Amino acid sequence: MKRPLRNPLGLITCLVHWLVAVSAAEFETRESSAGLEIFEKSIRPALIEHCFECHSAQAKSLKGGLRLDARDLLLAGGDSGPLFDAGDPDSSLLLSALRQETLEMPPRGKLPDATIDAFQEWIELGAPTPASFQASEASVSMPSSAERHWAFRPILRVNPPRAESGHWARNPIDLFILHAMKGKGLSPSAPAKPATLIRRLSFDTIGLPPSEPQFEATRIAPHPAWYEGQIEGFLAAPQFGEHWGRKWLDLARYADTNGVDENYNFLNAWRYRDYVVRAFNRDKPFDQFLIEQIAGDLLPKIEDSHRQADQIIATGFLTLGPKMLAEQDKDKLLMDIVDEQIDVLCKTAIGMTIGCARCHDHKFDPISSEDYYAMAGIFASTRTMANTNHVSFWTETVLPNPRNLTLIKLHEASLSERETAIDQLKREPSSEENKEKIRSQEKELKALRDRGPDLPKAMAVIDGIPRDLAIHIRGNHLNQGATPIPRGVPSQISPPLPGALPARSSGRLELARWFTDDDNPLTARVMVNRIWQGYFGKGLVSTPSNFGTRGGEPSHPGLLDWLAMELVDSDWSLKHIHRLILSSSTYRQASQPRPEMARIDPDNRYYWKQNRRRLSAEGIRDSILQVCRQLDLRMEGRVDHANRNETYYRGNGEEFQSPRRSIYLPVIRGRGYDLFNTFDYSESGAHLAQRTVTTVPHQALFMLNAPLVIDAAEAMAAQLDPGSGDLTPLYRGILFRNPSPDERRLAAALQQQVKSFTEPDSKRSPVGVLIQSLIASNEFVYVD
Amino acid sequence: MLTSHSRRQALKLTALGLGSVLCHGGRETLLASNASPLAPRPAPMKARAKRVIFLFMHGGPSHLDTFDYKPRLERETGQPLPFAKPRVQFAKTGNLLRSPWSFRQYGDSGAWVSELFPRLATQVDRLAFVKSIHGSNEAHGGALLKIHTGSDTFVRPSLGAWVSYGLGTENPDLPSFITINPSLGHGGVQNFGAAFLPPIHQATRIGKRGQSLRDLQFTHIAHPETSDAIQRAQLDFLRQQNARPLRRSGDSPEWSARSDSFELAYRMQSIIPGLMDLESEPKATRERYGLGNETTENFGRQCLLARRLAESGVRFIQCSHGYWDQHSNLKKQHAELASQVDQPICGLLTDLHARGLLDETLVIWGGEFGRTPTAQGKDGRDHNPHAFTWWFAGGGIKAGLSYGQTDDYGYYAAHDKAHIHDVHATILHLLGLDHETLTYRHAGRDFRLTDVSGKVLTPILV
Repeated sequence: MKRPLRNPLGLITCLVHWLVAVSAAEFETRESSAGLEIFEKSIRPALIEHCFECHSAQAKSLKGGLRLDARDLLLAGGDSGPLFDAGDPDSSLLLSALRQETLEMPPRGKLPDATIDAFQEWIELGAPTPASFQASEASVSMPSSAERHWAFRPILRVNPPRAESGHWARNPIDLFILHAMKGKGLSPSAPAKPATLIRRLSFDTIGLPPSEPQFEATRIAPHPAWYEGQIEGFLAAPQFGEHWGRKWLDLARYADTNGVDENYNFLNAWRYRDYVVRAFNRDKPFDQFLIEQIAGDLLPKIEDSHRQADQIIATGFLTLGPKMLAEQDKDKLLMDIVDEQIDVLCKTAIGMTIGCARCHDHKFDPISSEDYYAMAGIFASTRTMANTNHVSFWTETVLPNPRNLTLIKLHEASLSERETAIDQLKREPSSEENKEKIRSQEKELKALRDRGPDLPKAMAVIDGIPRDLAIHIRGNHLNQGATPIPRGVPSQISPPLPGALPARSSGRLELARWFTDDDNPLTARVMVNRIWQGYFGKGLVSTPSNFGTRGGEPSHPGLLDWLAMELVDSDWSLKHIHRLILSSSTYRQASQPRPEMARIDPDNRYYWKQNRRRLSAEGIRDSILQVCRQLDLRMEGRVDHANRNETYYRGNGEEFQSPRRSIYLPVIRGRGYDLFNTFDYSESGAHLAQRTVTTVPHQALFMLNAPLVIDAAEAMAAQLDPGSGDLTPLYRGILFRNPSPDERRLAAALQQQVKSFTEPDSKRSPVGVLIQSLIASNEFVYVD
Repeated sequence: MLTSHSRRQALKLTALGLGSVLCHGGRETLLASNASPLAPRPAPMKARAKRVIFLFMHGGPSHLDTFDYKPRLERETGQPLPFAKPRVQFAKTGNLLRSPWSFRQYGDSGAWVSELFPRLATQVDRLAFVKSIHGSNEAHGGALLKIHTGSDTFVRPSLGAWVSYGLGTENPDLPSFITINPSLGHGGVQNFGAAFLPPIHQATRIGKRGQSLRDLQFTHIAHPETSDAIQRAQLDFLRQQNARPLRRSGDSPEWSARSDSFELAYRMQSIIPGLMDLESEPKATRERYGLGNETTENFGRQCLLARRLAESGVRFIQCSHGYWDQHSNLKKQHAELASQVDQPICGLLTDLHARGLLDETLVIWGGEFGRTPTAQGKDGRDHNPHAFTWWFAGGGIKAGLSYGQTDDYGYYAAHDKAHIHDVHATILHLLGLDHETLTYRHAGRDFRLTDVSGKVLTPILV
């Protein structure tokens, strides 16, 4: 191993793969990142402190022809030959020198045993080094070779592998999948049965179970084109935008209250939520969707007032974060807001965690503090807060609307009406009662005047005074560097900005265009990976919001790039990507376990079957209500806050009683809906790349005792014909299949038992208990 | 590193192992299993305490009127503060204001306690006071988040969630982290949430601030119209119903784990209501905690329930009491608030001791900040995150100690300063956890409760 490694991470991944017969992708990247950590924690500091004096570019005279300040040089060794073979510490010259068995290094005295052990462990792990330790000319401090990490390299225009014999492959996705299986003893699964497939397709696209006609159509042998027609139907359904919009809201840390210290209502946040639903439904080009959210207010004005309003509403993305409204150090408050905006934006759009660079150069990715403050300058030049009062308030913008003028006139009329009434009262003979009336009416008048006309407003940012920020040393706003850093974008990630940012605006629009440049290597890859994750339960890259050097590597790099290129080439049409995935044979496979495949690839890394997935919190609630015929499918609109005021959220949870889809229930930071909390959606204050799926007894308690489940089941029971006793419609309506003979016996036995246990006036009915039990069954919450 | 890997692998499986183990053996095997995220785990270091009871005084009790006696403040009342006030203040304050209460020394340790805590004063030889705690956030919300999660800037897991993540629960039929009557404002569930840790580590909440514990139950622990017999029938049905597709398509671990979680839920249902039934305690015990007395009833119930939960193996229990925020009306309201907790706390300490539980339980008392020695109005004090007092008792704590000092007036922590990160590091240390290695990988890096700071306050340890 004398040659410099082009991709050390990849190599180590392979090594671990061979050595340990465990093939979980996650585990491998963790192994190499463990090695990287040792490097950063022990190896690099020891090299700098004890070795560089004689073995680096800084050495006055280089000793032994050996340099240790870059990976290729370190691996090449010096006059005495190579220092070690990665993975094989036993024969290492380096270790024997450190142990002072052969050479005695460092000459001034042996290093502590713990440090030598760290060298040994690091070599065992394959001696990984970060990008910053790559090139010979590299300085020791700063990661400089971004191009070495796969995600920073340009997206490749990859040709799909050629078709092998057989007819399994339906589109290029399948060719990539098949190609990766080759030679591994793996083969794809048969397609799922139509009834299973329609249920999967329905939950995956619209987040609801299929309708009765859709399900019925699967019972007669479907026409070959049937499935394609279903895809188009689901992609066109208005519920598509709700289901996929909700996923975006996780990324955008959407909520209807501020959370943290002062849990103020975000009375106008819902407009952003609805904008997202609309955008996904109308297949708004993804580049435009992103640009609007970063800088919609800076785009050219549009005549159509609805479309113009949407551009403003979109920037709500930047203001929806939790803010310490009562923080009295207002400079800190503003910098914290900027930090939160950068964090959520970079994770969402380009899958990068940039926040670290607020306090120091990013340890693993090529983001320097300069890069951070260049970007921070853009947001510091943007106004997110309307004021910095004791409890501060965010900016809201009045939306263009043809009715605004009318509303203003109505407001003025109502003011003058009240003024007249008060004048009238004042002319009447004075009495205690009269005085009291005047007082109360004047109070109302003042409140009305303060409130202003009820014009539609959105949480939205506006441009502030452009300014460049200096580096805040260790992130401390009270300790700033001397020179302001010109506003800009991360310098190590291509493409470079076409020119300097304008002096007269914040630069948000230019930043937005940089994110969505066809040549940006991250944006398209990150988004197609998110869509893939929505259909298979995991992404081609296992860390959907971390494409940096510490994130996962793509399991199918060619496929990822091909999909990303398809996105860009289709003018950023997301539905095009959805359609490609849904129509592939890969997606259509059955999810049944196949032990002979699982032995080779237990984690289904190669997609030899579909993955069984549990419904999300929203999916569970919505489908309970849907199968029990309780769900209200009205779309969009204001959130029902129990107490519609601009300050504290004071609801008592009644607003969670609404029968509308879950996306329209308020998201209350700090006191979320218990159903959401129970089923793994508990944190609405931060970007959420992927919900964890846990299986805990609290969920079972919910299914057994929550009024939501029991009320829905009993309401459905009450609608059924009590005399019929036919279980078929029940099983078809809830589990999408007919009951088997032994299930019929089981269900009859349960109903019989319940009947014998219940008092005559009980609110529980035998069939209600049966419905509840079917809802609580595994089959109901898993999608196969 | 490697242990943290395998921990995470186990966590990813969540209740999987738990499920399969339950099939074969039941409780004993379950306890031995390491695959459940809540399975008990041996502490990596020597543990001096097995669990925590945190008595949280919401609003910011005044250290100057309770435990941090300042003779100069008394002498120089009405005069201006002879040094600068902090750059950022929550509100404007005036000149120095003496405490309306007199102080006395108690016990062999000679600890100073004001008239506000006559009963607790009899217990001072069991306590270690730390008088130099300091944070940075001068508003309630930020300060609550800081003491509960270590961060008033970012969404982070709470102390109790970290402890649950690190140690699991001793009793698989109960949650590992329970919070009683917490405030839902000022950070709300974030103060006892799991953030990016697996959600199982968030606290199970019983009630909220201002509710009487008398009528409270765990959420979804029962349904009034569904009898035990019905549920038993349902569970039998579910077991068979869930087994059907298994026969058809082979086992999948999450499938059987979910089936088994229903059995576990059923056991929780049968245990928890009895645990919440405080009337089953002998009269003398109830009176010891102040039950039956209107003033002390509610916090007494919290403390008594905390002891019962501790006894049953819950890892982290938080009781909350408020609202100690006397910008005005200090004299009246601090006296009322102290009288509500004085006896219950004394009852808790003596009861834990009598049962031999105090040695293995860490009891913590404190608020989100202290208050200013300077007056707000005539009878009030402003928020003061720059100095406040907490006390600790029980497992591993050097009893009868006062550690750290504030300046002559109690505005700033001055000697042996203890940052909130240090307090967190110390709590973890007492439980056998190293705050530097108790990490969780999230968004590409390892997070810890103490971020990049924290040192264990060894002088307060045995």
